[in-house]
Amino acid sequence: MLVYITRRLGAGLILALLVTFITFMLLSTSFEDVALTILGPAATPEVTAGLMAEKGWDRPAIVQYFDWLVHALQGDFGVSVYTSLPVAPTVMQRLLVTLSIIVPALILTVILSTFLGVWSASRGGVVDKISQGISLVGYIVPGLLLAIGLVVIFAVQLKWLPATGFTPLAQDPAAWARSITIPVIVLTIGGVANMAAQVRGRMIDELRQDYVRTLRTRGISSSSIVIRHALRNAGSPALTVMSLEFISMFGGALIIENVFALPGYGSFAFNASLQGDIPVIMGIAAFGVLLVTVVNLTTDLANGWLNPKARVH
Amino acid sequence: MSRPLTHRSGQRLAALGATVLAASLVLAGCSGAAETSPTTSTAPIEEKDLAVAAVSAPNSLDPAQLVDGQQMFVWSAILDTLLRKDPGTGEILPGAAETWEYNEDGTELTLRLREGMTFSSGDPVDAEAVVATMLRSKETPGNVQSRLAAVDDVVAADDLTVVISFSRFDPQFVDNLSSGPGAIGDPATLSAESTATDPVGSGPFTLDVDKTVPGSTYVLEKRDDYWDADNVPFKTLTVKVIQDPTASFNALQSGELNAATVQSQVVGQLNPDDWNITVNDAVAATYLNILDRGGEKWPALGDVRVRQAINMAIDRESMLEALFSGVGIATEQLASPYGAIYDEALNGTYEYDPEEGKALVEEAGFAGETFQIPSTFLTTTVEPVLTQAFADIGLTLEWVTVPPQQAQGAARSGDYGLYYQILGFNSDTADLATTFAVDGVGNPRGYTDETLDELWGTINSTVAFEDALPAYQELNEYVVDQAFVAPVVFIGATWATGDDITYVGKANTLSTYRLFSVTE
Repeated sequence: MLVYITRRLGAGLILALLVTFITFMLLSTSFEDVALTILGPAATPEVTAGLMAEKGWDRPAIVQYFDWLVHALQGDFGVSVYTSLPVAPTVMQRLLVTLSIIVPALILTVILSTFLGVWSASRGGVVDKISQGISLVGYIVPGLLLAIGLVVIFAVQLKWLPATGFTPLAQDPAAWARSITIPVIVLTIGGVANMAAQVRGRMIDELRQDYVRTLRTRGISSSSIVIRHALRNAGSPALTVMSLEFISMFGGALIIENVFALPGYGSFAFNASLQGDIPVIMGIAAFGVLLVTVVNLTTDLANGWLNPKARVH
Repeated sequence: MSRPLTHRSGQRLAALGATVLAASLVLAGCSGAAETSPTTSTAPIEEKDLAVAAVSAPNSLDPAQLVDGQQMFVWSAILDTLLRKDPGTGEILPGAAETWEYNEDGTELTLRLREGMTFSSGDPVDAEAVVATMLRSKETPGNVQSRLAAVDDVVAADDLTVVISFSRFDPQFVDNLSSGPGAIGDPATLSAESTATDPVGSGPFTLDVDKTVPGSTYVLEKRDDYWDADNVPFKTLTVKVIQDPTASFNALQSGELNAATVQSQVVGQLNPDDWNITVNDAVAATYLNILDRGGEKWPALGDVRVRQAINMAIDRESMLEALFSGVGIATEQLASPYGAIYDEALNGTYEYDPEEGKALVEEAGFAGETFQIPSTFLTTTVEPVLTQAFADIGLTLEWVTVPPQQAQGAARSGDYGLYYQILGFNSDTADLATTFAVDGVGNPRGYTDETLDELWGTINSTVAFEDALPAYQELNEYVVDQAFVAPVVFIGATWATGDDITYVGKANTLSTYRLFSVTE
């Protein structure tokens, strides 16, 4: 297992190197534009060249990348060229905002999807149709429309929840909970729509297996068969879907953060890209790869725990 | 051209806005003075909480890195500026400096600071603080630096007197002192790391760091020891960074904001009993900038007939209605309609007439010419219309996608002959210089001719604006006649304000809390 983890971490590290290298090379064509943005439109070429030299942006891109890499490996991701804020803590701060929406949404998604998937697979009939109907509606209604609809009802009309903004958990737990409620609901509905059908499909397949028939003949209760045996076997592929859902939610967070004016990772990445804030973009790329690697590794380990056969690979 | 729309429109503004007008000090070109505060309370008013939406978070609150635009809502509340602008008329008013005076040739400016001002730390605001801030900004690469380019030296003549010497007269300098270059930081903390996020300033508010979420929400508390506290009608100022107009509108309706710009299509959804709606018809100019006016790379653009034809091809009124929801003014000139240079008579110089335009292009021998033009996030809505307009006169526009962070560089690169721009009004002294001066940002090839040389020569050597005004007006007429740019519309903005707060900005739309007043 240790070899497996080491191998996967090694692959993650190579991926991180590749992603950050390609990102840096792509950014390297716009160093002068970034200098112009910092200095304002009236900057003279001499002043621009001076800033380029001061920041070291006039050096070959490959040299600059290795310089960045050496510092990054020591935990120093530099400072934003616009805000002068250190990149690593700022990225972490933004990441926490996004995670505080995604993690509850993912937990709810897993619970609801499992419930709906298992319920419809084991009961069938009308229950199955209702469950599929719920998934279908969640799939069809665009998240953006759903978000705006919920804001209009719960924030604008009823004034129960805020329409925009984010309150840190440490500042006011109640206000934090209120600030994430609608975004979490929106992400959860989208997530359930994706995941419930997967769980249902896997459960139907499992319940048709010979071992289930055998267990039934031995008089084991249906609930025990479903929960203790079939669900455990169906859980492995569902976990993979969940990890993909997590990464997908991260991508979708940009829209949610925009609609709710949340200071999260997605909007941070978007604005940094617009401005060409090189250190921030590099930090975002590095943390992003790291996050995906960790999520994938965790999923694989969980799969291994659920399904011993998976440990072989 | 600022149009309040609701029944509240006639309500008398409270002390702040009214007395700003009453006490406004005319710069008079070379000097200004005020014996009293620029704003004088006439009656106590109930202080309100102002919560306003801004599209961008402040990059940095360091005086050397300040960016104007809506970032100014936050930083101008913390950092006092030497001068101010009247939100209604745009006239320069005293700020931290009570008086200012140029020497005869405009190479020395003497500012006299108010007595008794303090930073939020309790340190006194004196001439040394101004000197330290300005010299540091001049030496530090940042957005403020280029606007201090003409400054040779800054010295403190005494505790309250600052003397700035210049290598040449800079007609825009005094106006600049009402924005970034005029900000004052506490020299004791200027080099501290916290200056970028939580600076010590002498402005009317201090940042409440505990309630502030950087990049999202900035909460500021009024300083009761601020020298002009009586004329600050807000006990708190909250700036929420919201880029999406729908989100901003939702926040307004849910009561999280009481001031925000709204899209004209949704104004009707706001209850007129709860909201004041004010339209400012001109906050920025949109125009097709002809970068190669000399025809160095694109000879067609060097021909005045082609440039005039481009102006004739644009159906400004239709574009105003279709693309800007009718909020704004169709224009054929760039000078602010609220300023002294603007000439109503020039409108109509280029009536929409594509047939006449096509004939001019053919007469000049440039029919069938193709021009590449940067396609940026600002141009997506106008691209089809402008492409068609060019096609109507026998020219072709090819849009080349340019990433946002490379847009400025593209305009200055010399690779393009045309560029679509949106430029916020700055001041009468700056607006034409930006696009037509030989070193103007909007004139990257440094185009000039005898007439321009002569007019700029007069403007740059005439210290009093009133004396330079005829030259400015002649310049405006000349650039319209020569069609150096193809103006489209002055973009307007619709403000919704609630809780007895009124938007009072007109000629000056610098994003400060002073754009808002409290009604009684």
